Amino acid sequence: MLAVDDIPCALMITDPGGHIVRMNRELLVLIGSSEALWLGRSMDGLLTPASRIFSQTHLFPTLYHAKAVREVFLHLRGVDGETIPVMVNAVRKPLESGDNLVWAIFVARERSRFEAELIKARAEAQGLAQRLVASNEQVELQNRRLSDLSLSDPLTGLKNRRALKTTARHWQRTASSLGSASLLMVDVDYFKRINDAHGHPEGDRVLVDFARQLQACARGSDLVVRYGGEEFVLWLPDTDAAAAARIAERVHHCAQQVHSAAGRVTVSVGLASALHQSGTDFLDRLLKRADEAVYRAKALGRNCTFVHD
Amino acid sequence: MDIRKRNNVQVINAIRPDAPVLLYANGFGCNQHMWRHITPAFEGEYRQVLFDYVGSGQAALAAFDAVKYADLQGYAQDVLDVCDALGIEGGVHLVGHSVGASIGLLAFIERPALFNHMVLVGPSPCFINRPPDYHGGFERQDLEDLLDLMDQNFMGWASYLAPIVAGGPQADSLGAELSESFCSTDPVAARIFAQATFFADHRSELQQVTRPCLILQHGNDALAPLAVGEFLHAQLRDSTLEVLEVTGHCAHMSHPHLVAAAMQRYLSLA
Repeated sequence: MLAVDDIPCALMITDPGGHIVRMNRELLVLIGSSEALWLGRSMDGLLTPASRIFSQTHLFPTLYHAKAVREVFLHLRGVDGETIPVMVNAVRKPLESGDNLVWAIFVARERSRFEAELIKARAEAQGLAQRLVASNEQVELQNRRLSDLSLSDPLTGLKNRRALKTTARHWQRTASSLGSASLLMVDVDYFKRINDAHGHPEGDRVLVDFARQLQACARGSDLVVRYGGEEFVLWLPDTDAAAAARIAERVHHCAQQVHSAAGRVTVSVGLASALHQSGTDFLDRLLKRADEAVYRAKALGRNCTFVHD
Repeated sequence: MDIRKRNNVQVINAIRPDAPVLLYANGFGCNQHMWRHITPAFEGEYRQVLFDYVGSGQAALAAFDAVKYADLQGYAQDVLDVCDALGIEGGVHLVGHSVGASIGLLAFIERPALFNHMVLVGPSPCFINRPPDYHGGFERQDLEDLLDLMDQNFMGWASYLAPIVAGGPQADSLGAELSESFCSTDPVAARIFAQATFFADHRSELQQVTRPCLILQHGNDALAPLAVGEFLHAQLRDSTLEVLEVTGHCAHMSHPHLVAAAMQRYLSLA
């Protein structure tokens, strides 16, 4: 018959509370001790402090609840303070002395090393994944910034011609075919005089100030564009000529809030409206007519709006 | 979310609707099933309330909040939420095991009017040694090692390996059922609960507990040495210390008759 001392695995019998009743030779060699020293003592003494907690919060509650635990990973205290990683199976068995727990303990140094590596690799992978998410967010943010930049005028922060083109095309695709759009071409009167008499920095300041005023008098759906030097455009979607004329009034009023070294600023406004069309030259034609209207407003003595019919 | 569902609240009703309430708060690593050998002793006379903390047992994992539950205060809020959901406004005898005792005491401090007596089974306000005056039983490194050990055990692997295991041969069905129904919780939630449990230090709050407490200590407990029970007895102003001749940390499971008898003696005087 096979004796427990011949089995190549550490074996132990305890009472249900974990007091040691029997240990086989393999276990005694592992912990470098003799059975007499351990009989009647709690098996807690075989474990490292962390394993003791794990044993008391998981192993024993499970064993009270059920008949067996399998593949629990623990650390034994070996000779000279060495920590021995082990896999433990335990089963509740009625033996001659009453209810007992039978423990099979397998040394798992290799497995423990693999797992430590795996856990480390998992933590690293999680770290990498987090960094990847963070850098993706960074790239998206930069893309948004770039796209903002490519559609903006650097001096005034208003939108530029490219943005106007995109916005108008979008309106053409999505607006009702019965709707109309209007465009205000706004030109600062006698701007050259400001530049010549008071220098470019003053000219730039006036443009920035005026841009701010213009933005304030536009509606949420309107697009305010710096079109060229002292030329601005208001794109007014879903707006007919009458409504656009009211906005043009507001633009004149806004302009008067801007002061330059040469005095109060006035503007000439050209207004053009058109019914919805899907043609590619829709915007160009509207711009051309608004431009003609500005020219007429200037000819009429400036500081007024001319509506192109 | 309905708190009864969120915390898997189970009520064992008493004969009289106005019977006193026994509210059970389990310790780390298990769930309300821990109490199944205790509750029969109080059936009929007490309205008994059992629940699981969010993130463990059968409670709703979806409600788990890693910030709220990083602190025992979060679990104490679960206790208060459960009472509110059941319309309980006072007269509660709280029975807490291990960290469940600390959670119960924090709930008391938050709302003293709710509680009557406290029964603390194997309590510890702080597991870490704070020399020279306090011997909690463990060094910080021991508890760090515990977290690593948890990672290396089933709790850490359950969900990580799940997709692989599902494709392979069936795992030991007993083990699978156990880990689902009893000791296993979600690995992330379990880790956070372990951190909240084993690194907590609530020694300074103990003096705010004004209701009578029964401290049931295990005579030979690897988690809470005798000195911890004595410390609690000295700090809790109206406390009774009873040492059970038991080895281990779960007398209510290993020796339920001793725990139930001690509770009955104590509560009959209440």
